[in-house]
Amino acid sequence: MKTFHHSKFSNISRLVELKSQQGVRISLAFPTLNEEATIGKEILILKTELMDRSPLLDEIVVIDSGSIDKTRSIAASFGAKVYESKNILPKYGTHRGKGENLWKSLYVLSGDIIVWIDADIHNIAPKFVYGLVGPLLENPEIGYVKALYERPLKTPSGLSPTGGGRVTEILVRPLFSLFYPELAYLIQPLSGEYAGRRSLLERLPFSVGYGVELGHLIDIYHFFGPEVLAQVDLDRRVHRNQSVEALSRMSFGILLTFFHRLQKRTNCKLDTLLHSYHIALQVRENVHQPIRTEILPIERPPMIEIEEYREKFHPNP
Amino acid sequence: MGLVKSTFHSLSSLFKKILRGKLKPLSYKTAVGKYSPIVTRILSDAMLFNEIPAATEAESLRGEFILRKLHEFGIYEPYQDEMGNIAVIFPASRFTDKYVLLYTDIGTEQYSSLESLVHLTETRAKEMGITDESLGVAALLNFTEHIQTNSYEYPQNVICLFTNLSNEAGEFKALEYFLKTFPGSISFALYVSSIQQGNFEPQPLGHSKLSVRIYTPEQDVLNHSEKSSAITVLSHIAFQLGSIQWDKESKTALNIARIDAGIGFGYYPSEGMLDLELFSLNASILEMMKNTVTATIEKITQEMGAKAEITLLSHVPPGNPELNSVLLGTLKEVYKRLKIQQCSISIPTKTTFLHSFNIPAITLGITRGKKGKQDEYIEIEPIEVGFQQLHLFLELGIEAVELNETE
Repeated sequence: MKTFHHSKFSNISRLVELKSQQGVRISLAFPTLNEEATIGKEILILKTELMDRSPLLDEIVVIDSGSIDKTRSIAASFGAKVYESKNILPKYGTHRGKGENLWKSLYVLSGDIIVWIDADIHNIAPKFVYGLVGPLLENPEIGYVKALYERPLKTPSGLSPTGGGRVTEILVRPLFSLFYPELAYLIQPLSGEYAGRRSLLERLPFSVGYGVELGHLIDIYHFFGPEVLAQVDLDRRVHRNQSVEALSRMSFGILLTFFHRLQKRTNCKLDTLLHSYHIALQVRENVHQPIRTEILPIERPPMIEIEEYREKFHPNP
Repeated sequence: MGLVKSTFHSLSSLFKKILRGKLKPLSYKTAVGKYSPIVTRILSDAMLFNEIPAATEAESLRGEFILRKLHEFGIYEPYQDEMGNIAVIFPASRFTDKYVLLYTDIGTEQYSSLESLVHLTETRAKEMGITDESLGVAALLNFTEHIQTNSYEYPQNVICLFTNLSNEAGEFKALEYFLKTFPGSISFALYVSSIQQGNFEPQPLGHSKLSVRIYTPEQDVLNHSEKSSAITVLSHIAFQLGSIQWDKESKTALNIARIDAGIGFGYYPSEGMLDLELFSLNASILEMMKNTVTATIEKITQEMGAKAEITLLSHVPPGNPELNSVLLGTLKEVYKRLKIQQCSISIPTKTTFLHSFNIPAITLGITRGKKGKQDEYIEIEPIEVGFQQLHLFLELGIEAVELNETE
């Protein structure tokens, strides 16, 4: 698997030249839910450096899941186009989840190359975008680029240099090692920052929840082969740290996606039905009490199968 | 580059309108977004700059950022020296050996890998260090970009200097080195500061900065003798110094800038530190004050069984009040034309130093804000007019200084 360092693509003028030569448009989208603390800075820096100063990006869009804080107004005030997920392709209903926002963003974005970046990054910098876009502009055989980085934990005493990526190391890498050894070489398979060509992305189904990244990787593996994947080192990403309880729910969603993919794409069959409730145990008055959270394996079909999308992007089949 | 150029051309024509006296507030809002391109550019640079670790040797990491930006603006060989100074010199519109110096401080007193990550609300940029000169650096960078992109020329040569005022060699040493080695004649200097918009510095006070370290014998927290702890000693020093009456006529004053002692719960506080600033318009009073303060600290620590280490961090003698009179007149005019409220009388700790080189100097603040331990922020909205000040002051200031020389 090709691995790059972001500094290889730091000549932004060169990337703009390649973009112009290839006649492609590049779109950046942020999936959001209550990200008022970080979204303004992410938009301001990336818009200023990569749209206003150097026209690498053609648009910056926020797809919001119904934030109750100021995420949408802050995003708009710093120049992003803001959509509420529920208002995009309303005929198809709406689900709450990052994957849903990413899937719907394919319909509203105009780019041939799509960049998705999580909205909770504290140390955002232009490298987060040009590092992901660079491999696609310079290597026509690459179709999908994932970010990798150090993930220092944000703790009350400051930044702890190690840690982060716990779900990756405890769950995903062992699973990949068992079933998809080639994918185990991805350093951050669950990273929320990645870029891909529309021609590839529109052919992928999207899990609406936690499993979207893992689902992408398995589907790309089966549909296009691992050789279209690349990863880029962005050095360091400082972000909000999640509780173990939240990571447990995330792991449940990832396992759901994994087992569904496994049955769909391979001959592997499970003898039993998968349950849809994550069970957490919370201690209240010295007694463990179960907290049940429903996590359904909802999946959106490849966008190319949506009629409205085909009319917009492929009017003459 | 085309987009950059066109944006700056449009800004340039607006600035020219301002300079011709049609001083309506600028309004070049983008189609989307609340703030103008110049504001977002300055903010973006300020936030990225604020996150670069400091202090490093000659602030090399922050210097690299500035050099990279200058390179992006098409400035490939700026002046650099071993003290970490970086400068760009733009020639005047006519032949002259006069220069105007715009300078800002690339260092910071505080940096934290976590707390220096800036957050943005709709109206403010927040977090540690942002009220240090990150915004000043960003404004000066964008000013440099503006002149370079538009081939703009002022009636005198313009130097944009990025210096480190708290260089490891000592406060103002890097600036001093630049001024001593620069061969031209500097008409006046403008210190570009992050906050303090509307700032007015009527009197060039001299100042001394002292750092005091107190050591008391180490003891067990539950079984200590009657001897004083570092905290008790520092409290006593602060009380004694605070009760001294200084000469009001010469604006002599003492500021206890910081007291820090103790490690925390469970530990006996045997070490502490105290930062002091002394101000005066009178050089001999300032000297006498320094001696008095030092003697008081030494006496108290001796009496209380403690040891004191007193370090003079910097000493800048009072400036010449007449030297700044033309600049202060210009400043009032700039504020009036740009409708900036003259809102504070600040202590010119970063400009008086230039008086020892006989260079008039004042501070221009880019925006308003607040420095605090828990709540530190800058306001976004005033940045636009704060940036306009630089252009207007250069035009009016050069004219006023030359007129004054003729008279």
